[in-house]
Amino acid sequence: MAGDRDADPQGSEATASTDGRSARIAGWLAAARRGDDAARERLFDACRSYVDLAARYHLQRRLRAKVDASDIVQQSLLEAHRGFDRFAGESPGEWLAWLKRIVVHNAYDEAKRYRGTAKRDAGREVPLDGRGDAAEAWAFDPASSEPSPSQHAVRWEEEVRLAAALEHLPEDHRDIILLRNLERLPFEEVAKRMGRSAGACRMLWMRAIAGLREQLGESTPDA
Amino acid sequence: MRDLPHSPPQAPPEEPDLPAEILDGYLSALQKGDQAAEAELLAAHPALGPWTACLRGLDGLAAAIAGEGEAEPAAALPRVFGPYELLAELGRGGMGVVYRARHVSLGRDVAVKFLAGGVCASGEQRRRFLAEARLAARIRHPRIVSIHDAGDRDGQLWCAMDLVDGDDLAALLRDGPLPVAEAVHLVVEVARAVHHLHTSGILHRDVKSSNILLDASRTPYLTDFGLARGDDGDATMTGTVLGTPASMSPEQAAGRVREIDARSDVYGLGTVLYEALCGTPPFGGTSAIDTLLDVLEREPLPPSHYNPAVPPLLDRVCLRCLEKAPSRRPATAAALADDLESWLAEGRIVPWNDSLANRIGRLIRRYPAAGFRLLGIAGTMAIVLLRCLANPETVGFYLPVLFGLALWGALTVLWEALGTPRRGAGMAGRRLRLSPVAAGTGVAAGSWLAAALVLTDVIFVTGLLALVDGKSGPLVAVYPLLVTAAGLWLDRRLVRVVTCACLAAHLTLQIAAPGPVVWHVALIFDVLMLCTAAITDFQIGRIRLPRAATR
Repeated sequence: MAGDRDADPQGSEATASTDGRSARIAGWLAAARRGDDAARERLFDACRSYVDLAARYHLQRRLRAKVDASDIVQQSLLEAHRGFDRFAGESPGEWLAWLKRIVVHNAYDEAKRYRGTAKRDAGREVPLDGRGDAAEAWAFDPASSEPSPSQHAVRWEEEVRLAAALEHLPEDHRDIILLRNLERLPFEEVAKRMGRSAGACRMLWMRAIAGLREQLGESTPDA
Repeated sequence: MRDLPHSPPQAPPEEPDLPAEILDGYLSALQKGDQAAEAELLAAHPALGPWTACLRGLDGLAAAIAGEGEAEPAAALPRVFGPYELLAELGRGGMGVVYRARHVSLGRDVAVKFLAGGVCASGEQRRRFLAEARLAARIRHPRIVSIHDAGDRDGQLWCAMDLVDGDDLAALLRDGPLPVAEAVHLVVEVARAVHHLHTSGILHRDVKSSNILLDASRTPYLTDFGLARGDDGDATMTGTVLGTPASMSPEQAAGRVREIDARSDVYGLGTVLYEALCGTPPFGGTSAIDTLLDVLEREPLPPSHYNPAVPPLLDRVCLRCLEKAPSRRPATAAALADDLESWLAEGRIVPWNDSLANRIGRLIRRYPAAGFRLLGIAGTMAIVLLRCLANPETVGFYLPVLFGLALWGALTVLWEALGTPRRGAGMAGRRLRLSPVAAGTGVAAGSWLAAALVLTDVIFVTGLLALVDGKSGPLVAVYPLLVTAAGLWLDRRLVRVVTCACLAAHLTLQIAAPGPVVWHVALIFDVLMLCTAAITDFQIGRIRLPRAATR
């Protein structure tokens, strides 16, 4: 996939498609809420990379190690599917925030399981269907600096576009952007996690950002 | 470092004059929100220009993707929330997050809880929450955590309540059970509090050890009633199962919401008593579904099994609270408290009617794997005995059959005994329970014992069929029965193992046992058996959600 895009010297096709996708999310969301299953499929498809990124971020952040997040991506999408009727918001911003809440909830559970601090399953609050999960993912945390849904709404297009572009990067590029830009770790820490020197990480990071800009169609090498 | 696979060969490295350190410095300034440093760097290194949009975008993404569940460092507190100053996080979980907070003008410390389901909650749910909070705020009881204030801010439902300095009962019990008298005292206090709620028209619905807070002197306080269920109204309408399986009453676990009443809370009190006496809840499967099925179908081991210090009478009081049918439980929480108090004072309890059928039913539900097998074996033996009585010359023929059936029954009991946690084992033996469901999700020892049990079935069935020359008669129907029965463990591997064993046994029987073989009939039978196995397998797949299956 990434290879195809690389063959495109302008890198503009990928950009156009991700842009188009995000612009259509609002339409799909509205149609899906009216019960259009095909639109719902497309909506989920378009948000998959966002969910994937959020899942990696939250799991990795909790476990402080690189882990396979595909389980919680699956689980979260499944729950979102099943709980879709419960989603009460209307804007894509609210939609993404809702998706993220489900991811955070699952990452929380998964991290607990990984660390073995889930004392006994029996003692946990276990919601038994997707609706429950979605309901339990809570919305407002006064200790977090998250913007309110309305602030969030302004940026969602950019977020989806970036998440999609990141997905097309090579693995190590994506990893380092996740650590440095999203987790905001200093390079000393990034180096420890990646098992490379800080200098090498910095170089890798710079190339990763260059690659991302290319994905986004920001840089045209000769311009 | 390896070459970048995505770099097109025709693209030279960009802006070679920009060192990575500068770019990193810019990002650090951006992340710190240091706009002066940003501007300075940008002025000093114009080459940064084209990179900034991407870095800013990523930083926005970082903020968006983080958010709830990612508490700011503790240093970021205190924060002001309405009249409260949030001092420290006390805990967080699926239901929300709780802060220690100080009412600024009153100088009083309280616990402020932010509930789940905030923005998603419908207007109706919010209205109900606030109505419930109003009701709850009227509750005044020395053993109940009072609600002082509640509200809805930007769609977030919150409430402020008494602060209890100390851990909850669940945390205390992780170190082991309480002394019997203390456990009983504690449950008496909590039961009185629950009864007070009931007389005020509130059902707690989630009485469990983690909702019982203990202060420094280990005085219990009941918390999280009524509005603990932020979206309870919804649950009431749709029968959504939400809560803690291990302490959920059967009617809640089954989603029979109309049946939930005071006696559901009595059940919850029973689980608290059980846990306080044993250090382990009555049911604890390896996944939520296993636990739920246990709650619905199984009888717990008596508390004295885990804690030999528990006397039989107390066993009975505790198990009575955990009866599946609400009508068999104490009618009110006060009745339970009275019972426990009279046991404490005089060592006696008010007797109640417990029929023999009830007791046998409980015994079988406690050991279902052996129980139901013994029922089947005993029924078969009874029929064989009647046949012998009717026709005495067949005794010689049937004696080995009877002997085989008896041996089979004895082995079944042996396996079940091996699968039951040792007496006084406390929590250690918990995961070993053999009977269906508890052993389900691949807990090694439990699975092996389950496999031993069902393979014993296959061997004895085959031997007995050979004895009675039943290879082409209707008795072979017992093989599909075994396959279906193996499905009760909800373990696909077990079903597959048993299916293979049954197929092998059936074919061996055809070849080895005397008498003509009608091969096409035998093979059709095998195909039908495979169909049975496939259906069983499919049903297990339906029940085990993807997440459960991977564990």
